[in-house]
Amino acid sequence: MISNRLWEGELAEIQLRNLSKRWGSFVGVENFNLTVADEEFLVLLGPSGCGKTTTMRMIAGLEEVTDGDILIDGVRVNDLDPKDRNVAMVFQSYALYPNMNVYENIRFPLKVRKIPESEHKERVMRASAMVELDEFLHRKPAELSGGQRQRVALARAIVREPNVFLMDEPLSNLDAKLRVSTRAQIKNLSHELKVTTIYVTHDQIEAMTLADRVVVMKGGIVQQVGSPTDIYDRPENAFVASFIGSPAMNLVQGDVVNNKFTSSDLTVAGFTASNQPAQLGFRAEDASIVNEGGDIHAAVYTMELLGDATMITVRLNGELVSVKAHKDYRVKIGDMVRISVPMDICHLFDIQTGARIGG
Amino acid sequence: MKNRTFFWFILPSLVTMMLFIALPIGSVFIQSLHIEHTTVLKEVKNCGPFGCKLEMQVDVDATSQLKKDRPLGKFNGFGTYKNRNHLAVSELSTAWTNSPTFGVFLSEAYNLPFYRALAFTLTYTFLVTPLVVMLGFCIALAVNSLPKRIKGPTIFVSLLPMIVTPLIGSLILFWMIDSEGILGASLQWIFEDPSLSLKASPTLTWAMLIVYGVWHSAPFAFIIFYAGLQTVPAETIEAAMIDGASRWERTRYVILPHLVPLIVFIALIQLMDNFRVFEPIVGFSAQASATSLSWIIFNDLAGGEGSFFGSAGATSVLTILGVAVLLIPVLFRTWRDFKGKVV
Amino acid sequence: MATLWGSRGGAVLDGEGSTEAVTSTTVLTGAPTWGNNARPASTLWWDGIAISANISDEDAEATFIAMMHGISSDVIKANNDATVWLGDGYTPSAASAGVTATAAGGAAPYPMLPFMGTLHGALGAEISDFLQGSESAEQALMDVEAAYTAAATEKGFLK
Repeated sequence: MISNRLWEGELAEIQLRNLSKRWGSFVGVENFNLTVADEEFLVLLGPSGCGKTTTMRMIAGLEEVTDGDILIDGVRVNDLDPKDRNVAMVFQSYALYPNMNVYENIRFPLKVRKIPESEHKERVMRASAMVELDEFLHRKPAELSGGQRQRVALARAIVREPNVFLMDEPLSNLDAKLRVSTRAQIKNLSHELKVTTIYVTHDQIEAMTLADRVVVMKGGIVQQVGSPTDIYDRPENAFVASFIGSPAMNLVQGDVVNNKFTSSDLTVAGFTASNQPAQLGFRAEDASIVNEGGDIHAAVYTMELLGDATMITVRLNGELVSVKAHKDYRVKIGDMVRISVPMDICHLFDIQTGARIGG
Repeated sequence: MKNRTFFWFILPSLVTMMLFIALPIGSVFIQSLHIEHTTVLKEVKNCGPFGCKLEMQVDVDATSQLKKDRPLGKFNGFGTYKNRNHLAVSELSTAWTNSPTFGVFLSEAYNLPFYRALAFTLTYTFLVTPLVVMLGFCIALAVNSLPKRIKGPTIFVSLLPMIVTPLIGSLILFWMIDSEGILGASLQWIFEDPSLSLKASPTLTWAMLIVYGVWHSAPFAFIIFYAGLQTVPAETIEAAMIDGASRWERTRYVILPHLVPLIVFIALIQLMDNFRVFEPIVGFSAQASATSLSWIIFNDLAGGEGSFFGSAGATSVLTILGVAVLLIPVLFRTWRDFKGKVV
Repeated sequence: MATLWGSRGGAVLDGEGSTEAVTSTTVLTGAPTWGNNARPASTLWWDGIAISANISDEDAEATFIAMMHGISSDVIKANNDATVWLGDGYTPSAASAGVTATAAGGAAPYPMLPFMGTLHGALGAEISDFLQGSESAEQALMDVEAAYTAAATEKGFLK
């Protein structure tokens, strides 16, 4: 096949078939089925303990597979050692070799893979240039900042020219500012390198910004697979709805009666759903503060200035509902406000299973 | 911390160290500069069952009066250090001028008790120390890769040699290598040589002592390395696995560098420990083939032929100097690392 | 041929700790001599009695009486072959033939001198090379002398 990659990689399509991991009766990952396309940037997203890291470690070969198969480029790799899978991994703790300087750290995979000595220097220089580490090659990891260390880890992964990149929360040990710039760097690198990448995170912003596709997981079970837009705009269940987005999607409990969602303070009509108890969800930035009419009429619980917007929160039957207003909008706590919640911004979920039933 | 506060803070340890380390060493050093008073002799007529004759005998009263006046004895300066039973300065220089080759000089030097002991002590120290570090490391790696269920019992069994008192341990081995013991008899049978005896050959005795030393000290290194292995960061090992490092390369490039401080620590302790090798020599009754500095001190103090306090003191001071010389490279390195970290 | 303590002769020949094969073929005789039969190459050890100065007079008297009884001619006669006696009433036997011959040959008593211990120490330390065959007798004796000189100087026996 014709490739515009920087190196001659093989087709790296990853298939997970009924992949499961159990420790005794404890379920780590249950029946994971997915095909990651060649050159795709896939993000595994979920709260801690959801099985996202376990899935990645199984792909890397660091964790035994209990059930199911992993195929890379059509070849079953379940029983291969990590080093034989041609994957590179970036760890949360950077996992650098503290006794080696930056140059030796980046060179290490080449050295142990018996790649001809003559190529080392050129490849290390190329990889370190990509992550702008050229000036630090002689330093030890202890003499680098967190961001620089993570870049060394990235360069160590790049220098291998692997078929698959695995990244395990690579940004979570960095401070907020560095996280944004390193995130941008990873995005840019992945665009340049065009290598299949699986990226694990619990940060939904990282997932939204980096991913071609996002897999949302919870309790070892896949909740939804889709593009960031899909996941954001059309969450498959109440968990995904509440996990993605900042602030979390507003969820109001009530009943669907005659295609109309009704709770004590809010009524939205126009759904096609059977009569049942349900949760209504809508995002803060989709609803709006209005002067006249409106679907919710309630006292302001709190007002937060976000800079680019002003967030107004009211209490509905004990639950907090937030709405983003224009950044100049001001109101006092306790004042009454009117909020418009049109039907087309709403999502409807089953109150028991959380499954999407309309909207 | 202010200098003043710091002074009060360390004062108790300072006083203790003065009392229990500096003072005894000082007293040993002073003792080593003295020899006993010249015995006062007098002529007496001594009669026994086989007749009477005139004999020189110690004038007990005069001699004990001398001792009472100056209990340290007669000041001798560094005479004891320089005499034939210690540094043997004049014997060495004679040997140096008279020896046709360096080899002859060495064998002349080896004929002197101090240098003979030094030769064994150094050989023992520089063979046992690295062997203990290596063996301890290998056992730790092996035990660490065992399944959890049998780890505990294995660790217990591995520690046994350290629990056994050195003297008892060496005695047990001594009987085992006796020509009627299980090891000695087996060796005779394997080599079909009924006169083969580990005890009679100086070389085999040295080998036996060294094997014993490694056997006895390896558990110490093992348990420290084992504890160290638990602190090797798992992610770094996994990174090395994915980078393509084999088990050996992971050990070489990740585990070993991580354990370097422990290796230095064990090497230091073992250098000091092995330099004062003593019990196995007594246990194996090996003094005809191998003596050590500590054995010389013991022999001077309790050899059964009276106590030589001056000699024992001199050898002790020389041993302390020896340990200091051994540790200087390590201490220098530690100091340099320390300075490096501050900068 | 074996060299042993003269007082052990009795045990070799008494037929209790020994066997018929040994007793019937063993003869005890004097120590080897040197210098054309001039002197036996041996020294004589003998046990006497001593009473320490720091016990009471009554105890000392009782001890003295007991000891004198222990070496009386009656006791010697009753235990003639138990050891080699130096006292009236002892009849030399086959077991004491060697000791008697050595004493008659003019062997000197062992020198009970304070520096003999130091000399023993030097001998014990330096003679093993000769016994192991790695050194000549002359060299070993020279080493003994040098070791003794250093030790005896420290002990105050030599200047």
